[in-house]
Amino acid sequence: MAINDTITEIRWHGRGGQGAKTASLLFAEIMLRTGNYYVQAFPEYGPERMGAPVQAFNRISRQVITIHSSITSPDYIVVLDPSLLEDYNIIINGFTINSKIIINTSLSVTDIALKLNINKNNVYVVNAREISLKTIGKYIPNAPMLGALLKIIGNINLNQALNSVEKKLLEKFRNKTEVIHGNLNAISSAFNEVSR
Amino acid sequence: MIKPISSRGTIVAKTGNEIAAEAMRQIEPDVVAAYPITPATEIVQIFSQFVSDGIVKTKYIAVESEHSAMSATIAASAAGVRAMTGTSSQGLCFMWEMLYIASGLRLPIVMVEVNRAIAAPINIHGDHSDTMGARDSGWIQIYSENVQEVYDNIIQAINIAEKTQLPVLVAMDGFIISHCMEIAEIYNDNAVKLFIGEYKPTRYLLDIKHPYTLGSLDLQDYYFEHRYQVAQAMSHANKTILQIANDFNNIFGHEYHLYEKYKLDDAELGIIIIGSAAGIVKMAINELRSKNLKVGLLKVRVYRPFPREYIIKDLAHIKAIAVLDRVDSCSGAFAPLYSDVVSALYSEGITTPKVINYIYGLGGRDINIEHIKSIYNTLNKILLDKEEQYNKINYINLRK
Repeated sequence: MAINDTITEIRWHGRGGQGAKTASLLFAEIMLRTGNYYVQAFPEYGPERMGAPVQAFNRISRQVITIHSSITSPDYIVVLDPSLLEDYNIIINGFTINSKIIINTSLSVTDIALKLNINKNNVYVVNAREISLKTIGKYIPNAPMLGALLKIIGNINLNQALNSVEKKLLEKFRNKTEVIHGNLNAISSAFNEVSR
Repeated sequence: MIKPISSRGTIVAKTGNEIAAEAMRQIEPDVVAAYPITPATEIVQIFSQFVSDGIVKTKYIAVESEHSAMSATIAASAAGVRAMTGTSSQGLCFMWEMLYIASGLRLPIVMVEVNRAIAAPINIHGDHSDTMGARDSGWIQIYSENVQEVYDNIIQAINIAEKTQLPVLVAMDGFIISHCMEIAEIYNDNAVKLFIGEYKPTRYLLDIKHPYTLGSLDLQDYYFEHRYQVAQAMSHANKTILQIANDFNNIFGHEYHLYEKYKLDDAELGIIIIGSAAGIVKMAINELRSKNLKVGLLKVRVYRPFPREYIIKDLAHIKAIAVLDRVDSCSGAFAPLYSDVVSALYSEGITTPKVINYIYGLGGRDINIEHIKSIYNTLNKILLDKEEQYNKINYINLRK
């Protein structure tokens, strides 16, 4: 089990419009509903424009979380957009030998590890572009990356997680059931496909 | 297992803004007038959706500015109904002259205020510059450490305002709390409605059987007495706030006081702080206590009225105190919380604690456990007379 007695911290990297913030909110809801964890989800707000690099964060714990500092040394780093790797110092900032990084890419684990100059045992890849095009019909990488994180973090009941997401999405997309189904399929596809 | 404390409670994951809107939905004020401003926008955005969907019967007035938002809220309250609003930063600044009118007319308005820095330079992140500027406006000020406290404070604020006949401002740190999703317990609608009860104003302008004048000219003859009454109401408000906190605890099982003590009773070194950073101090205390350091925290919840006569009893035994302000008053002297704490101690003849002032977190600048630990370390040096320089403002995480 990846989540121990201390606080597990997660950092999401995306671009404005890709849904990094939504993914962090959904992840927190899932961890509460399926695992009874104390959770936090918060975005980093900078310039609010489409395409700008954005970050979002999670904390997960068995104990009440009272800290409200920023997250500087995450246990998990989730990268929604492969182009962010061009400036990879920002991506691996605070990376430790125990951190895990999950990347939306068509490249292999070995290629990514070489590019980021980190041990390949810490790297996971998933082709979120392909999955989201296939399941949602357009390129929105947040749902597949959420599915990949759920798999890597471990001990998650996928069906319970999907139920929790479905409830949340119903609030927003009451009249667009195809959006909900697409996203749920994207989550389970990535859950099954993410690899080391 | 995360379980609700109250039998009327449900566990939810919500941001500070979402839970503020949820509290407002349950309170269902008669009138809400507001103008959007980051990071408080979501509160009235979500609430206006409740209005549009017919979930609440509130009259929602979308005004053209914060000055008008407070003016409309004042008018509604004076007319005899429950009225609420929400704002932040420049929005609160734009309400300025109306804030004093709300308190001077003794109107029980409740405002949710999301703390944000004031321009220039322009910044949207959390600090206490906005509400600290309004500290002498005759509004009760209640600060929230986390999402749960935002919710509980807003509900209690309705009763506090109506009992004291003073406007109440409930604050939370911008983004740090307003946009942070956390676990909180909410109570069922009926329990909340029962707790706040029906609003029965003692007098109101639309009561045509009992006409009276409100807001008339008040010169040398009576202005002084009326402002004295506001000050008196403020200084008596603490008892009412404690009584309402007690009632709240009896019903919902969540305990509140004017301030929260964390491992303070046997502490030698203390930090006094307001808002979300208190949770970071608690973590630092847990760590230092495991190394047998006698450290504690006093978190101010009710800043106005300042709980002067209560606080001194809990501080008299502390040997060295750091007061952390998330605002710089640019006064050439000290920041607001420090000044209040020191004058409270000194006025009672308590001069033994050595008290040092820190300013932190302006414009959302991060503060972490290491910063807090270094402050306790400095307090320890002061205690051992190894640190001479405690009679000036110190800055945390600032490039000079």
